[in-house]
Amino acid sequence: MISSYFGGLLIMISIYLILALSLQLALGFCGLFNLGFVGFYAIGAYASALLALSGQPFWFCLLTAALVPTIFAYILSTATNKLKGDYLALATMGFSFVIYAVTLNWIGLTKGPLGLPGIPRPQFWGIDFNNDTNFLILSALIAILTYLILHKIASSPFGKTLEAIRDDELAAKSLGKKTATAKSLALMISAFFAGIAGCLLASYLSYIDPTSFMFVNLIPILTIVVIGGLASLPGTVFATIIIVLLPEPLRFIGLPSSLIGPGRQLLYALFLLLILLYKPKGFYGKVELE
Amino acid sequence: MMGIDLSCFSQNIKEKSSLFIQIFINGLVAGAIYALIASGFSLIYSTNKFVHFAHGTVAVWGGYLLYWFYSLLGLDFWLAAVLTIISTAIIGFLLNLLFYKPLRKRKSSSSILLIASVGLLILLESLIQIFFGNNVKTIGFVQSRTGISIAGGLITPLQIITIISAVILFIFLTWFMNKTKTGKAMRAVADNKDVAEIVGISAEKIYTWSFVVGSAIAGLAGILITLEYNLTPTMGTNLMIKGFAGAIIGGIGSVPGAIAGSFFLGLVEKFGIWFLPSGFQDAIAFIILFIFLLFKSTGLFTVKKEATK
Amino acid sequence: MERLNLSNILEIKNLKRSFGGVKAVDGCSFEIESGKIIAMIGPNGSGKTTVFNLISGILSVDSGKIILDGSNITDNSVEERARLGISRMYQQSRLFKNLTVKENLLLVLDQRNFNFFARSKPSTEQTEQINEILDLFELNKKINMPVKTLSFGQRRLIEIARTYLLPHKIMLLDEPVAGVTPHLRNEISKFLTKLKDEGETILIIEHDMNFVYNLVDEVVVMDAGKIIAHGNPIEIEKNQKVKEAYLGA
Repeated sequence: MISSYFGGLLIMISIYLILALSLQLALGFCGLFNLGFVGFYAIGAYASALLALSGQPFWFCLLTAALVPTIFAYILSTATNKLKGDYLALATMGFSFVIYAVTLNWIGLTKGPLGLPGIPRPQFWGIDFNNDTNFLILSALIAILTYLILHKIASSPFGKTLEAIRDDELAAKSLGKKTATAKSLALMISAFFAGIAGCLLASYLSYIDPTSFMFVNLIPILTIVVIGGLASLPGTVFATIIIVLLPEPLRFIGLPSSLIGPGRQLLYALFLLLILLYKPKGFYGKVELE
Repeated sequence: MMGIDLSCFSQNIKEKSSLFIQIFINGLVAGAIYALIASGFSLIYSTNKFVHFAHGTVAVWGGYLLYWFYSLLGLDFWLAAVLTIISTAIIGFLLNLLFYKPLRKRKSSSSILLIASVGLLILLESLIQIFFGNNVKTIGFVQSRTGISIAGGLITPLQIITIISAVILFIFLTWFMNKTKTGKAMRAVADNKDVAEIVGISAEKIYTWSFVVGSAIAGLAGILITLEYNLTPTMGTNLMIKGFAGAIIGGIGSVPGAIAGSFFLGLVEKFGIWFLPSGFQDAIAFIILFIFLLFKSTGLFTVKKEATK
Repeated sequence: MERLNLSNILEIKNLKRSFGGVKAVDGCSFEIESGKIIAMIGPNGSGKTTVFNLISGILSVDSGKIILDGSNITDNSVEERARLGISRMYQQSRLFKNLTVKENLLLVLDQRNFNFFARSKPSTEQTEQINEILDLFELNKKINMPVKTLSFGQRRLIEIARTYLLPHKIMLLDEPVAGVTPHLRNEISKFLTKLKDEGETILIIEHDMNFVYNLVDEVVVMDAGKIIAHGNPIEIEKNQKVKEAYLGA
């Protein structure tokens, strides 16, 4: 139905949207400088891939992909509870390095740099998900559901508590709010959806390896969150579309294929830097990144 | 019978101790490399108070520039080396001028500067890939790879030079930080920027100097690393993590501490893979880094405010 | 000699707190009876804000006890003390600056902190409370504006409103009128008088003796970490030691 090129793009947009929205909750709404986000994505992808490869049904893979990172998020947030500012950023960054090192080195589990090939597409209700259009509908629906759930959370009293913590954690405590618990929950929810995105990635590409989960893969997601504007969910949608589509023209201007990868990275990096320098509120944000 | 047993026994000890020496030497070499990265990084961190994560990639740029000057343009090696160090100093200078300074002017937090530095890392890395391609580059300057035997372990001349460079750097930086005007000013700014400005030190100039000196050291690191290990575009992140780990172990504000911490890391790594599968070598640094960040962010050598509150 | 006075809302017993070698608070004791308003005055650096920080839990005591309405809260966390009845206003502005005035005040009233499903909206009663206080401070028009668009004085008013709206047994106000216009000083003074008539228990740090003179029941004077005088305003005004502390500082 849809050309496979566009279909592929839309699927990637759905996956990135889920990632960006979940980072938005943690960073934009709660102010958590969790740079270990990619670690949750990785755990979700590998957990789901291993289960799928051993024949487990999709719903089980998806659920596990969501819950296992959540548990890690609980542990990580408890461990980093008392850290502030760049120490928190660095410790969470360290977390993603450790996860990356595990995916690279625990060959018995993850096959290391060789990666896990042959991950099957979901199979349920007799629908053929090898058909990209069907898979697109699935991922789009999950992305929309993610948006609705996070929107509900953001506009709930809990969401406002998170924003209060972002703006002034001490003042929030002075109002009796249990800030440590709230931050933990925010990270856990964020990890939950990152894991789901990982599951979709693994199913879509049918192959994953550690390189998709290096720390630097955080940058496009972070760029989306900043460009769209902190604490703006609609802005995140807008920014995801832009960021995924942005490097595509590189394919068509005759660049040799070996340059497309670095070219895309270069564009993301430049975009992020320019936004940080000139428009730190992003396009729809009301909060400045600080 | 006894005689044969004993000689087997002493043969075993001799092998074990020569293995021990070899691992020790390997640890020192690795430590020296990390120390080269960690020292420049620590200089920049202690003055600017944020993590300039692109530092490792600046070192990699040093390696590629040496390749360009020496292997591609055919310049004399020593000239190429000097040009490389000047060039990386310029790169550091520009990164500060074009990116960090404007961000500082708008009072960006150190977390933002960290994110910007990651952006710069990717920027520098993709530029390498675009200009030089992705395949491994070698610089054929050091021909002699035969080792000299010391106490049962082998070490090549290049490795000796690397270790000596790290030690000289240690001495140089200690002298620089304690005896020169600029160095003392850097310590003043590192200690308390506001007070330093009151006594007439221009913090901006000091920031610039820290990037110039730190990135020049990165250039030197790049040269030695390339000669020892060859070049790939994505080496920067890995080097940075090792250097960062070394700096944290030694105490994040202390430049000499960073060097000591790096040697410690090198030794732990090499002795570690005596027991663990070799694939875990990198993981050791990552895990040590993570643990230190969580529990002991002040490192082993500094007495500094804790990272909490 | 322990007086079991059940009408004491707050009792500070021999608080001590040092930073490095500096004794910021060096053995402070006093009690605040229910319905009283007490001012803490003293030169800069005498330890007043440190005492506040110890009471509200931001700092832990080196030794000493803090008793709120009969319960020992010395080891409770900041948020626990807030829920037990300590409502504090800070010297610097600590509003949630990216949120609106309404959202800032609703956060105080809405205790459903972990409710993901409801919509964050004030109930009828909460709306009344918010409107009432904004009315009093003539800030109704600002109800939906982000707090960062307000002037300094307006922000202080919102902070006072916030401190008042949090269910509390005692209000701690740290320099409520520092830096505000004379007009606002009067507004705040009127408001505090109204609170006094309502029987509120308040502890205020203030530099401005004129402001507190007619308002407070007792004055506690600190210098170099110790309490050097404690009495009603008239006594304090005549106290020689107090004069020396201020002049000598």
